[in-house]
Amino acid sequence: MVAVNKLSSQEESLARAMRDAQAGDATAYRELLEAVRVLMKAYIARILGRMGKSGGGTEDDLVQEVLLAIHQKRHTYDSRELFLPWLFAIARYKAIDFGRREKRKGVSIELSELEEVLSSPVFTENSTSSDLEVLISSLPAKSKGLLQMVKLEGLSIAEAAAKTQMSESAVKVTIHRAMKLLRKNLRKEKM
Amino acid sequence: MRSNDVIDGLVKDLRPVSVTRSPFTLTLIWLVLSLASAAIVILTLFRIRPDMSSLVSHPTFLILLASLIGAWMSSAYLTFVLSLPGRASSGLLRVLPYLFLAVAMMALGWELSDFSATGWAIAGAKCSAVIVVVSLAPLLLLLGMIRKLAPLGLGRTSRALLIAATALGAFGICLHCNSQEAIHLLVYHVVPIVLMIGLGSLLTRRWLRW
Repeated sequence: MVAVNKLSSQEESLARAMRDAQAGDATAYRELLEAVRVLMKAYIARILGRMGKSGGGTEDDLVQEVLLAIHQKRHTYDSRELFLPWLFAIARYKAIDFGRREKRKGVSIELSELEEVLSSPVFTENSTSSDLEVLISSLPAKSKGLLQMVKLEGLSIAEAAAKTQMSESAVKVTIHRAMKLLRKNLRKEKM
Repeated sequence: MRSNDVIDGLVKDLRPVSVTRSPFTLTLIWLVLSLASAAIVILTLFRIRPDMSSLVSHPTFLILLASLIGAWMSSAYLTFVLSLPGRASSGLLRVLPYLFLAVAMMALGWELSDFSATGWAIAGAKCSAVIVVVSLAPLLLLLGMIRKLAPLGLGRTSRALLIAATALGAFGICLHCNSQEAIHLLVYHVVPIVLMIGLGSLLTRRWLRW
């Protein structure tokens, strides 16, 4: 439940910062972009890792592209809507665009892997944080905490293991099982 | 350049912005403006057929007009929903414009038994050209509005955008052209929409990229 509450408060604080930024508040905007940078770093590192394109400054380039896109399109965020689905929809677009550009350059990318990451329940453009809350709340407490740390906050397996005093392999197995359960629950919801 | 520098630059560049209107409001604005532009083109360059009142007794023609209006409205709304990040578009909304086009084609296909050679006449190609002329201003207007937003699925958005503009063009030609023959309506009024969507989406995808 801690992870779910954390996600809700993150949604609220980011949405508030965005509202203030749209009104011209530079301090709120800086806070927003800093928070988005952290979120995007984890998200993009995962995508690039699947593409086999980690390192070489690519992550930072793509994070910067997302930040620029947020700046250019900030007027399209409606404060009556949730902020995180808006943010991840933009990040998803930029990641797909990057994948296409790389493909045109002849760089081999496992598009099926990319699709899998982008269509995972956490990051679909149509999913809302309340959908996510319901899904995550169905998980056992230990899985919820680890999922929050690794998939949402971007901690490495080793960092999460040290924080929870578990072995790295136990963390991996728990997360794997949690993701499997999430997928299963999502399929059930769709039926 | 590091992310920190980018953030510094963006914060420095920050100006208050007006939040975009809802997809519903944007759709209404475009529907009104596109209808006005199509009406001006039809009334100044062409003429409304004189037998409009008698067409009420022709069900296929009415189905065709209703389907084109449905495709025009639903695809315009879909275009705006697809161009605002984080907005969920229902499965029904995503297929609705295509369903309307399919209904138009099926209604005309149903009447194809009264086949006539005159319906095929190449002179009918003029009708397709009129569709392009009537659609042009609404298309450019919609493109301009969408480019200010953040279209995500470029292919889907391009197709929805083209259906919206060309369905209005096809509606306009139905008010001008005197032909009642199903084959003529199908070949020169509806098929051009499909062709324009196919060819046009290749171009509009590029224009919509951001």
